Amino acid sequence: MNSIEKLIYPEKGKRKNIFYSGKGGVGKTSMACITAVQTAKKGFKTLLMTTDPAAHIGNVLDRPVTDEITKIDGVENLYAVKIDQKKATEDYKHSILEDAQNKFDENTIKAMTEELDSPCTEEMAAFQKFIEYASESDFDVMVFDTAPTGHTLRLLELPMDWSKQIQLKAGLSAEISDADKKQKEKFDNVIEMMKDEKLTTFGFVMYPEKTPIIEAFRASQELETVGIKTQLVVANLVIPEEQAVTPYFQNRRKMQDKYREEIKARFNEAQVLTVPMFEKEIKGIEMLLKVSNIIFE
Amino acid sequence: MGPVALIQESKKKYDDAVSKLRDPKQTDFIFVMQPEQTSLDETIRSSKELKEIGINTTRIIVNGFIPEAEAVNPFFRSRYNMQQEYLIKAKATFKGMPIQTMELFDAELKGIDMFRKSAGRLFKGSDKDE
Repeated sequence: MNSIEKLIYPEKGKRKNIFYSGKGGVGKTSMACITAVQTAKKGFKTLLMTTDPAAHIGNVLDRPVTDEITKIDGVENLYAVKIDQKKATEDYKHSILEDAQNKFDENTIKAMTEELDSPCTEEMAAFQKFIEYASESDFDVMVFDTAPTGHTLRLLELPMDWSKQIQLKAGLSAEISDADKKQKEKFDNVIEMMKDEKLTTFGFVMYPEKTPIIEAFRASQELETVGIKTQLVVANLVIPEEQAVTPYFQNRRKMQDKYREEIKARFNEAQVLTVPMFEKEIKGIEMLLKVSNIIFE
Repeated sequence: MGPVALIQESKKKYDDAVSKLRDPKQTDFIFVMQPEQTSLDETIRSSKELKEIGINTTRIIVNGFIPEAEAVNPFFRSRYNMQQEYLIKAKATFKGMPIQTMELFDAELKGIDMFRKSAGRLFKGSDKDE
């Protein structure tokens, strides 16, 4: 296997988790779809997970994707599931507050509710779903288009689960029960798995331009504080050289070249995968099969 | 105590600020999007959410158009046509709302000169739309 292949295919008998990070609109969902199609094509039973609220994944696959794991027609071994972030977040809040309501007074509940209104809660809820699927399923590869940030992972690493941390923030002491300890153990196992470079690949998707590079670099530094290295960087929408026939596009291509060099310099321990611009949007199984061949073969 | 309890006394300030956001005479809420499916979907969704809390989108800027003169080969012709189709879709979706377009430049938007140039073009476009 070459170095990119090592990042997306599992070792014999093991699982591979692939997380994509990056700002909205840079092509995370497309990359997740392309990667999942590729690993499925190679015979690995693959689950593609997305939290995309605009249900973009259904558009890209051109197949309905729901919050139940569904087999995707047209690619052997490929399954997809959409995590309804809003619903997952509401469920998650509800479960924490329901438990708290029996124990604490109104003001405390108010304070806890407020603490739960943080972007962290959404990531936490989505991540909880990932843990659920990760610990119960028999997939060889799991591709997730929404990686948790370093900040969220750091919270998960604290010696108690997040609902307890919220209680603490709300000014209560939190007792840790045996059930909590078990839950915490499950979290710890998943986090250990995420830190294991052989089992998990963290990838950043970006345009080869100044600001996206800096933002991704900062986010990857934050991940490093919890012991997770960025192994893969995707430079997306690179103008194919043979298509840059006017000075205008040649200039843009030159600019992209410069920033691809900067990506290599900044993320010097990661593999850089160049994804070209195509003449149309990446959409439909047929195109995904074609694009995954161009990128990975 | 949670943060809200600590800022209770400033509540009026915040209420005022939000009511200013809701007043189209005082606030322009402008969405910037790319002429692509995802970006259009995202803009529709977000503007709907804002509307639910009483904030109306007043203008949309569709950014990153390939200049027609540069779409000389089939590859960029195809992308050019795709972008134009999404502009039509955006106009159909946000009927009656001013929609401005902005071209992709051959260099990064960096430095005062570049912004002078791009601002000129952006606001030239707006005269036409209003």
